[in-house]
Amino acid sequence: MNETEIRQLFQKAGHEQAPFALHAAVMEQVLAAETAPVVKPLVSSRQWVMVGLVLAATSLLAWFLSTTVAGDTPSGLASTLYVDLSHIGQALQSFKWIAVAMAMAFVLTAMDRFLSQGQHHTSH
Amino acid sequence: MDHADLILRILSGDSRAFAVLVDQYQHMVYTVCMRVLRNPEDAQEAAQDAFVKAYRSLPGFTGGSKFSTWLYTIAYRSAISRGRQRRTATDALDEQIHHPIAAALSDPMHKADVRHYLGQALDQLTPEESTILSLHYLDELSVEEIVTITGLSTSNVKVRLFRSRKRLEAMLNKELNGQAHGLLLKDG
Repeated sequence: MNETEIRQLFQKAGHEQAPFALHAAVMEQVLAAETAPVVKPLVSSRQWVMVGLVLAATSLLAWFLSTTVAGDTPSGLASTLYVDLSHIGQALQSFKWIAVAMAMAFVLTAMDRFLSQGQHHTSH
Repeated sequence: MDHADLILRILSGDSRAFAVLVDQYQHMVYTVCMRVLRNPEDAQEAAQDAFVKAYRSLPGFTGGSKFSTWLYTIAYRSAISRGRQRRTATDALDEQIHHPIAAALSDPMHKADVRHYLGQALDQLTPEESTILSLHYLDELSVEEIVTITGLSTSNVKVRLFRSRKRLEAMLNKELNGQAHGLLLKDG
């Protein structure tokens, strides 16, 4: 046999005949995917990035201010530029539980997104 | 209606338009899966997975290659993945290696069944070789398209194509004892 005959043999044999049920099974899954409810998170990824940045900035600020020694006031030209932010630092210290709560909310929402994706895949 | 129009319809929310593509490609996709898995049940499941994956991935189809090449790539990977998961491919292969083509010839009911003879011969090659041969000689895909589907290098595909064709020729010549020419001349 040469290459041409091999080609003819393949052409004559044709494709394997797909089972009759294949078409219906595929379309059933496709249509189910179309009608399956898509669970969308309330807070988008972009919004979560913003929340994360704000949280990080707040934490950094709180840490920075907490290192300020009370009564350590600069003198001279520096005193004109000095702004006593220690009261803000104290306020942020009292808000640390809010920061913890926000972090918890972030983690829980991330888990919710993950689980909803898993549910969406298994629904197919 | 061409593929581009169908794909646009599907992407605009007409999922039923996908049925046209399934109808057109189901035998080709199933053939690729059968060549890899050699088990009708597994091949059907792999083909089903491939079509559903293709439907989900359709928004990412850029048209950089032919739709058939893109779909075959998904089907081939889906079959390979299923074969790895279940390991039934190797079991089926081991089982079928002990079924010589001559056994099929002994049954006059199968004598004219070219598909059966060819299937028997292809089952004696590796799944990769039989898939490459089918893609090239049955679907008439180019070496470049087979490279895209299988992920092998161009030279690798060429070498495997040449070697597997030679092996297939030798098997058919030996087992059919010259009757292959007759098979080609017969109708149907």
